[in-house]
Amino acid sequence: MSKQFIIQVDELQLSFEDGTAFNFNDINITKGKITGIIGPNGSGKTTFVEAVLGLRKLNKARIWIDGIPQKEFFKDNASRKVLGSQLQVFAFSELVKVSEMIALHKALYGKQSNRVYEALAMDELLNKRLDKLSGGQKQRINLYMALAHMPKLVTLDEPSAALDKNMAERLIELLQYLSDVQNCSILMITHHPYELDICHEIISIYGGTKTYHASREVFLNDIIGAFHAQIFIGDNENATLIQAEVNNIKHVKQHFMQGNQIDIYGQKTMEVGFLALIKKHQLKSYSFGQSNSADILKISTSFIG
Amino acid sequence: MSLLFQLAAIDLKSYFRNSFALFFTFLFPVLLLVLLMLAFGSNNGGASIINIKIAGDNPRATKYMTDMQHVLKHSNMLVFDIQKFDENADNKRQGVVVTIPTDEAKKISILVEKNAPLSIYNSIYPLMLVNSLQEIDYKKWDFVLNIPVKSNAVIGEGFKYGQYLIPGLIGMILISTSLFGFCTFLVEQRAKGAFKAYHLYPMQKWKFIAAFVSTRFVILVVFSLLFLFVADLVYGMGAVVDLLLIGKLLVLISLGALTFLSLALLISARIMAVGMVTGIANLLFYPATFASDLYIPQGGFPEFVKTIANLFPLGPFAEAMRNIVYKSATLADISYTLGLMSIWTIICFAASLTLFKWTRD
Repeated sequence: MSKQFIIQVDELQLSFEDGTAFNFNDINITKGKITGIIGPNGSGKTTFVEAVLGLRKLNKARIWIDGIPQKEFFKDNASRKVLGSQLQVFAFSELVKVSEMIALHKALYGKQSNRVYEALAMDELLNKRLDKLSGGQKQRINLYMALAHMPKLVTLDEPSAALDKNMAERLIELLQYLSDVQNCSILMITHHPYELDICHEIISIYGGTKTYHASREVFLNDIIGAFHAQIFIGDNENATLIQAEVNNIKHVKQHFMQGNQIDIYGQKTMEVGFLALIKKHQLKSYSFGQSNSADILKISTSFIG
Repeated sequence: MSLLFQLAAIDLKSYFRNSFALFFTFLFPVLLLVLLMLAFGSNNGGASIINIKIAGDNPRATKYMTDMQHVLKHSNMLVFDIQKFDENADNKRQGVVVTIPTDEAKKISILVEKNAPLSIYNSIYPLMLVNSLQEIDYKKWDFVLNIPVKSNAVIGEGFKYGQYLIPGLIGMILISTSLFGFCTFLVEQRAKGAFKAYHLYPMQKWKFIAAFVSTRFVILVVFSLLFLFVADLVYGMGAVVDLLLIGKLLVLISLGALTFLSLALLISARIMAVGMVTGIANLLFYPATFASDLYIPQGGFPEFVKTIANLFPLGPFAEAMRNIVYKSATLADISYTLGLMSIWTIICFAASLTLFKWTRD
């Protein structure tokens, strides 16, 4: 058990009634960092987080949270005060007013941050009933309940889902503040590039198991490829030939064809071979640039298996 | 504000914002009372004729009729048709027939004609009230309701239908609100994942349970007393209302509310599917309310059904309330019921605290 980690999962096994089994071993979440969890739908991201939070029946588990064995952590009220979780489903009673939720939060944790209150613009929702709120407004309540006590450990499940652009930006700023200033550890399931942009570490999950766990830089440079080239084939009759020739370009890490477009990931040095291919086939429509979070998400939901 | 109080306050406010819950807790029982009283509690146009058949020169019958006139002097639309009859002859029954034999060893019987209109039952309960007030040994009486003469069936124990019905409806309110307003609510919350959040909050399970049970407890007790007050005002239960009676009712209703809430809590302790809990609640609710002498007399049921029904706290609760209201029973007199409900409450709460889960796993 290392003090370096806020969550340490040595072993985590669970299975479903249909026989599907998930195995998550050696997943450690670093203290004070923002860790993103990515992967295609149904890959086990939410299951993993819920299992860590004690919301799933586990076949085998050796898990520590903040240095405390998982079962003991959830038995102890004081331990749970350091945790804040925004779950995927908004499930509070619809007949409760926002002001009452805030009062409940105060009674639960005894402290509330004005910064979180203002960032999520709670003032404008205070007197509304939950059943009168939009999906995005409900998400703000959900986030407030998870963040307002400035917890040491935060788990988020697609936190900016349903939020408008302005509110999503405010949330990102708030999460950065929590991490940088409050030294809060954040574990965040995400499908959005702007959420992934602030992650220090990324875990990719595929088919109920961890495939990669690395810093964002390592993900970009070594796993995905720091550069991304695209060729728009259109109705070019040599499409198959062009795709075959991409294999011969040096320093390409991976490439794939989707629709009438070929995506190529690799090192900067692949540029020479790429441009030669463009020239040979006299292709008019192409791009070459640095990879980014959107590329990580694109690859993780398709090919990191 | 303490967490317990905050949880209870939120639940209470939510409850009063829920028009569906309000209807079933507050309005539905009143509507049911009105409906049943219309069906069984009045004559629905026209007088009920009670045929009194007296054999020979019968002092027993004379006393009975005197008492009947005394007791029923405020009752409307009851006509007594007193006839002499021959005990050995074949006497045709019609409507409600009270037969008073000369021989003290023979039972006095109240018979009701087959296929009699519902309104005829209005006349049955005053007659029983007479019997009750005369303190006649019930072993010497037959009450035959709509069935052949040889099958004796006891219906009620001497109350007007309204008097009989209202305590039964209080029992029904307690069990229906517990099962359908509390039990299903808990399972719904679990099914939609609301309890996942509670599992993660720094909060003990018992605080949540205590908060929600206390909210429903207050609602049930207040409404039951309110219902009694309104029912008495409208239908005149005839009880002498004093502080002692209110105190005894408060004890009985409070324990009753706790009993049925604890039962609801136990049923909902682990179930995930709303459909399943609704099914279980219905399976329990309908047989229990039919067999527990709440608004349908228990007399016609087989003995084993009565025995089972009387081990369930619903019937004894209603009976205890009738005894408190109409027979000035003390708490000691209803100790069986109080003991039975206490046992159910303790077992159900203890099991619920152990079994209750926030989520399926």
